[in-house]
Amino acid sequence: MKLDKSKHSRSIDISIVGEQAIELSWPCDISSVTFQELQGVYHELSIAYRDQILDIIPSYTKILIVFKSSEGIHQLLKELEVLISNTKQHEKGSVTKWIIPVCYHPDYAPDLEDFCHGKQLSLWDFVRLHTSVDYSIHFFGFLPGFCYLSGLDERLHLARKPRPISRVPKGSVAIGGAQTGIYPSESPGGWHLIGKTPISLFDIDKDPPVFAAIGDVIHFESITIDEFKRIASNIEDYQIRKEVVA
Amino acid sequence: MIEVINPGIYSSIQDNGRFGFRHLGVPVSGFMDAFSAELANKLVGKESGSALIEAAFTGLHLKFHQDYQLALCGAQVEAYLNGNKLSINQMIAVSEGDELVITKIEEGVWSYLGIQARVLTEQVLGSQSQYSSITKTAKLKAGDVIQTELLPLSSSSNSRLRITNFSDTLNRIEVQAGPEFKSLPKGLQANLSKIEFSIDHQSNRMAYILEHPLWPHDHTIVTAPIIPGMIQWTPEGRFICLMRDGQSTGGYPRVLYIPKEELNKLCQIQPGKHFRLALNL
Repeated sequence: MKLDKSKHSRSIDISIVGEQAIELSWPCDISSVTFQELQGVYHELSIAYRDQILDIIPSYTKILIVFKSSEGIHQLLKELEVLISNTKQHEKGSVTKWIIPVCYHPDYAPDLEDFCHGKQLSLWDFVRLHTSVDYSIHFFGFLPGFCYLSGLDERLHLARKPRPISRVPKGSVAIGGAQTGIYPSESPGGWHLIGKTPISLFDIDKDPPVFAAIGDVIHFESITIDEFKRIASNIEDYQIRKEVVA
Repeated sequence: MIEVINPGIYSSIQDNGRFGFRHLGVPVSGFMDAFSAELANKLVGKESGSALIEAAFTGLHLKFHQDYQLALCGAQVEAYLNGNKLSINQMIAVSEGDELVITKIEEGVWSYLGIQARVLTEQVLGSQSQYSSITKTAKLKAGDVIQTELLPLSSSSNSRLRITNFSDTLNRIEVQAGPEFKSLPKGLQANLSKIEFSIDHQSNRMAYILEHPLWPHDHTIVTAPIIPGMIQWTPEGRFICLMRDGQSTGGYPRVLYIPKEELNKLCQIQPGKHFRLALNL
């Protein structure tokens, strides 16, 4: 099957992928304008095509919509062209901000000392830079509950390790390139481990299994090793703090 | 109930997949070779998409603790029921106490055991497909007991389906251009079908690693959505085909796409066997 391509006025590419999916593609920069626009289209599509959509997977600059059937995919392509040309930029209404406790103690941050040494940063400076930002959740991927965040201070950017390690512990907070994130389960990984959170990012017994939603904001808060242990031992009772920001 | 004496190389409960959660990073999972799995379901009169046992290669050993109607489909295997050779691709009746073993594999990788009973394993996020961090266990292990609920014998069960033998079609897989197809060197785009590929031994339900001459590159893309069948092109120049347990986003150019029916074939190619990719533009 050929990839149908047409240029949208706001330069959003739209094309059929495989048998039953359509991909919307913004120019490749992770700007906040793209983020707002993509969020608007994502939310609108999720509602307008709820009955036809099997899965809708957003990312930094693309949204892949997998439909339940390949039938009428060319008609859907035409409809989506119209829909995106009429979608207003996502109204930046109130956003939920989640306060995630992170322990930066060397016991839980095996790569932090080397990281700071290489960057000529004090541990204190590192923690200040990492905890002073509101990180936006662009999308989830890689592992169930792994959120892709934007907003990491440039002074904390560091290329991934040349070789991934086979077992990154669940809850590890890490930096890879220009990104920071939390490993929601144990997995292999190539990011630098700079902290750990006691809370669960993905809980299959909860509906939805992820507490945060695409478009929400994550804020890291430094906790001591004692606080980490206290929260971890009482994780059932721990309420993740949240604020509503305008 | 069905007792797992030995799960063999890798066995798990699979259905047609877990949909509606890929935006949270949850893989779609489900049958590797949906064609053979649905055939097994059809033979025992089950609805398409029903949960069954999927087994890779050999070693699966089951004991049945009640009477069942079964159908074993997929890979061309040598299987025995209480020591008697078993026919694949047709309905078979087993009795309480019978034992089934897959001992040898000639062609293919994945076998499917359709069961004329409801498989009562846990359903998580709308699917019974086993996957680590979603279901309590990631695969079947020795000693597992699979509870079932017998279904009334369906009149639609059909033991006389026409079965196509896939072994002679496994040397040629049709592919389409993926979203980043144009990143491939022009010469490679034009000569793709002349290249001999095989499957690396490390391949699994997440991804099939292809073996071929490497074409290193420095094209990067911003992390993008990926679906089963997409072939990613790693910087060292390798093709990796995303399978059913693959992640929902990835950072390598998505240069090719294998359509569903072709992916059902690709997953059945044994490591080391040669095949070619036929590009359908």
